[in-house]
Amino acid sequence: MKANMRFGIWWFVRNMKILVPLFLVGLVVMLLNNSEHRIQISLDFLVTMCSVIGYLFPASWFLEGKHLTFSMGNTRKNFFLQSQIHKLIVILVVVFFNFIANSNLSLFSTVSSVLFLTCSSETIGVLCLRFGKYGLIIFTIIAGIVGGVCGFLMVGEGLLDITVSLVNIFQGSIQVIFGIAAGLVLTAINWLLFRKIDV
Amino acid sequence: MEKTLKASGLVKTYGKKEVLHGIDIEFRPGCIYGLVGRNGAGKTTLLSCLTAQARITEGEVTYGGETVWENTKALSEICFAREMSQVLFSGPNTYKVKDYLYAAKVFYPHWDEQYAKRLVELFGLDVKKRISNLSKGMLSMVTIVLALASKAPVTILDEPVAGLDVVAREQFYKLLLEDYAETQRTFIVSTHILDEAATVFEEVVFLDDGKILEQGNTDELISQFHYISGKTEDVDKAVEGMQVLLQEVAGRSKAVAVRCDETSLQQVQQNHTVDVSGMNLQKVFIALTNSKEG
Repeated sequence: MKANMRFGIWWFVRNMKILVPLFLVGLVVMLLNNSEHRIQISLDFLVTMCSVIGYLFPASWFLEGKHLTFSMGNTRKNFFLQSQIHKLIVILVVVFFNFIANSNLSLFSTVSSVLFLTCSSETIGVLCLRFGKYGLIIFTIIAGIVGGVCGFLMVGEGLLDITVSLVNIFQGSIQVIFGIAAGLVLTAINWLLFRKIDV
Repeated sequence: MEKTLKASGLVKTYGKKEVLHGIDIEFRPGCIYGLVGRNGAGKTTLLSCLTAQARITEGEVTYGGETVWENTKALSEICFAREMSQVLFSGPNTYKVKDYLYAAKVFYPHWDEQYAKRLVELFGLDVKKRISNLSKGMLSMVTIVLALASKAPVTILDEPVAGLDVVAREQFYKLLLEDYAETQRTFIVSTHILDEAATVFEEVVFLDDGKILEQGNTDELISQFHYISGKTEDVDKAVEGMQVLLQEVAGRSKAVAVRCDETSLQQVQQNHTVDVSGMNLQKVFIALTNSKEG
């Protein structure tokens, strides 16, 4: 597990190094914006970028990380556990930037939405590993249905900001519980699919 | 304590297709094994099952008496160096050679950094080059570096020489023997290029169509197979009662590949006017697989 963690952190940092320059360019562009709310817009941008990057990481770990680790004796248990650590880091980073941005979004809503997003990203990775391109097709269909429902709700509520919209879906105690429960259920399903995979 | 890598009743299916049929095999410590088979025989599948990269359908794979599946301790002592993919699911493999070397350093407890550096220099590899930009030969070299520098007690190489030129192949076998002389660790090398490899393998396993056709000491195995040639009628009389694996007829002459013991061979040489010659490992394998098909 120690070796897996050491590698997992190296992998995380390596991918962050690639994304940070893009991140900074976007931030500079936002700050150069002449709007009087540019600081708040920039901070909201930070939160959005963190969420988007965080969303990509779990799928990327499954699709890329396996090539380097399983042939060197890593186990599925350790690899999957590392994915949970990545998800936790993403949640903590988004919560941190939310705090800096002085967002109106509650802590639990943020945790719930980011957990749900990262778990569904993990599902993409596992489905693609298990079923190949058919896994991606399955996920696209599911995402299309879920995205369609969310989009309909967002339009109905008059919400235009994607990050705020997604988190707003998870506002309210029932939605928070649903988000966390859905995240945990997805994680359990992902493990059931992944534990016997051929690599 | 020296440990044995063993498969018992190993069956592997992909969907409804059974690719490995009840394989029983044992790899003793401190030996160089050659795993030989035609394309599609199941060599890579067998090796994947032995190293817990593929889930077995039936049977058991153990190392030192413990099952290898999800066993970190067992897997840390086994290195499976296989062909690298230049394309990942998400696109070209943008990892660099140094990334793979770093991963190996993290995962292999016996990793020899100095030896790895020496091998990289010897092969002229650029560690900053991306895997997707390497030639087939360089990919094979990276695989060889990872395998040899891992210093794992059981080191498995899957078709390591497939992309190498003849000079590089010679270099690889020399390095393999030097490493073996120094460490006495177990090597399992899968290949279908036999003419050079035969002198390196102490033990050989012939795999055909998901089953073990033959296994044993290389020299002892080769000594059981001979070519007998001459006039057709003389050859037919000489090989009566013997296991004939292959025969070639050219006009009134005939050449057959037979499997027999030393005593029978001496009788043939004394009592019949035929030519007797030995066979190399490649010819033995061809004769066995043809005999199975015939």
